[in-house]
Amino acid sequence: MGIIAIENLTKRYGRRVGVADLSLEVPEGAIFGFLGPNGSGKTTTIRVLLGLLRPTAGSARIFGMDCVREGHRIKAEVGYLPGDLRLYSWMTTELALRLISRIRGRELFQEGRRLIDVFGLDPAVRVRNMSRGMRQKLGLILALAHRPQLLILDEPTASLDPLMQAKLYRELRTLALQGHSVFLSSHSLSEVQELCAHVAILREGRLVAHESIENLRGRARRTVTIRWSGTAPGDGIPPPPFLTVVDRVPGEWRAVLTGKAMDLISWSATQPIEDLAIEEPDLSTLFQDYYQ
Amino acid sequence: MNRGLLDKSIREVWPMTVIIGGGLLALEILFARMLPTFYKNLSETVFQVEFIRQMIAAFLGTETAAVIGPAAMSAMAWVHPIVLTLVWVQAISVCTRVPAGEVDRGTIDVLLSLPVTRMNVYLAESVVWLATGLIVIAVGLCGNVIGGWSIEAKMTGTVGQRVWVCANLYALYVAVGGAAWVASSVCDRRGRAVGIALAILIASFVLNFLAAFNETFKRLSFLSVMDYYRPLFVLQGDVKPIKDILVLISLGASCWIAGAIIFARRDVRTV
Repeated sequence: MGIIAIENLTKRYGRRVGVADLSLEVPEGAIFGFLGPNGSGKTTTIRVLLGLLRPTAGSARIFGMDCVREGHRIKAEVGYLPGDLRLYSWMTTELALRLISRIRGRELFQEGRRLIDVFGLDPAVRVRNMSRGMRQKLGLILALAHRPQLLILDEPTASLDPLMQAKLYRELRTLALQGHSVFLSSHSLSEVQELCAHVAILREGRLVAHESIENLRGRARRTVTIRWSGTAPGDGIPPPPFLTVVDRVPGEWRAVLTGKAMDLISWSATQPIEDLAIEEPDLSTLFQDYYQ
Repeated sequence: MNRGLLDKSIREVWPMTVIIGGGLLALEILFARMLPTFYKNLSETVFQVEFIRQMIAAFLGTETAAVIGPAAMSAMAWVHPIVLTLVWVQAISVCTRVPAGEVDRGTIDVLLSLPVTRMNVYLAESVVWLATGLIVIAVGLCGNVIGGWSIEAKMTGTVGQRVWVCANLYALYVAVGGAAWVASSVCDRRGRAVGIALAILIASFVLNFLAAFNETFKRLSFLSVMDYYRPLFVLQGDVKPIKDILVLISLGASCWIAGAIIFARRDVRTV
């Protein structure tokens, strides 16, 4: 059983279906991407995992424990960052760490101070005087400070600048290397590509894809740009079967590679090609196909 | 009991508790000091006016015949609308913090993502509710004792009588708080929860008030929480309002339990 095991989970809001018959297992020690368009059921699923919503049918388990009945035990080892983070306006970072330490019954200051340095947050500023980015940093610190076995992050890089995003990614990778698990819900496809080993994609409350990033990369389209040498601008040359030309201008083709890169390289060796560029697999187009 | 949750609740509630306690202290000093004087100045003329006696009787929840006497004026210190408002504000604002207040400001997600049960949260807030009510009313009692220090006991009531009045007032606080807990547990907006609790309270107050003027309302007065809070009987007849206190506390406890069950089972959605 994975660190998260969701079985036939359904959540209805009256007549509206939030999640329908979702079954999903999240492996331990990995960064797992959870994607889907707005209203697809991602937040509903996360809120069921945290015990905030009661399932209409099915079950959700973390560490083998039921999320409804044993939520307080599960949350001792879970760190959560909500998508719409709201904090108590009177808190400072230092006060927040002190309170959360008391509530969790664990000492959080050492790791908390390290994270304050990593994210560059002033520990004395009250939440009411913080920018959105600063509040997001505080939310991340509170989620990470107890070094949880499982991190559930909903849009973690919202309002973070690129430098802070890079720092967060470093922290998450370090955690994953140390055997901790991360369940990451994000709209940023580049973020998911960069961080995640596995993804699940929801659409209209149902699971439409659940595979490794490696497999997805293998199926994703790759764009190829061929620049022909001056004396033979590519006219009259039939494209090979593994190449679909989408745009032709004099002296240049833009095409989509539908076969193996080696076949393309072998074929281009026999052609009057001046330059050949093969781009990284375009997962965003693949994801968007799932979204539609 | 999770000490961290208690700490958090106390931090959020103490400023308002200090203000309300301070207000009640000042009012009770004033009333204890001034009401006997009002009684001396007004008794020969004003209390002979039937309408005024009826109004005072309505406030005190009693018959007009009982209004004549210093105890009636002393009792006014404990049923004055401002005094009741302060006590009710304390009850309603503490008891609508969880879950309605937390859901309304969106902090419930962070709170319930911690390793605490919903009952832990509910209990911590409940302890603060009961403790701050005790403090506020005790401060009011101190004010009344201080204000009536040099005034003879027949004008203010003995300290023992006033303690019973405060016990009755605390039971009323528990009943009002219980209603607020239920309202808070079913609502996602704190304003709505406060509105529901206030509506119940105002209806109670009006029903009790009108019972002094109308037989039909008098027959229904048992539905009003104010029917179980009659300081005049304590100050005038040295009655110990044990039955009234038990009714109010039972009502408050039943509502509190209902609120706990609802909160434990409901979905929590931030708005």
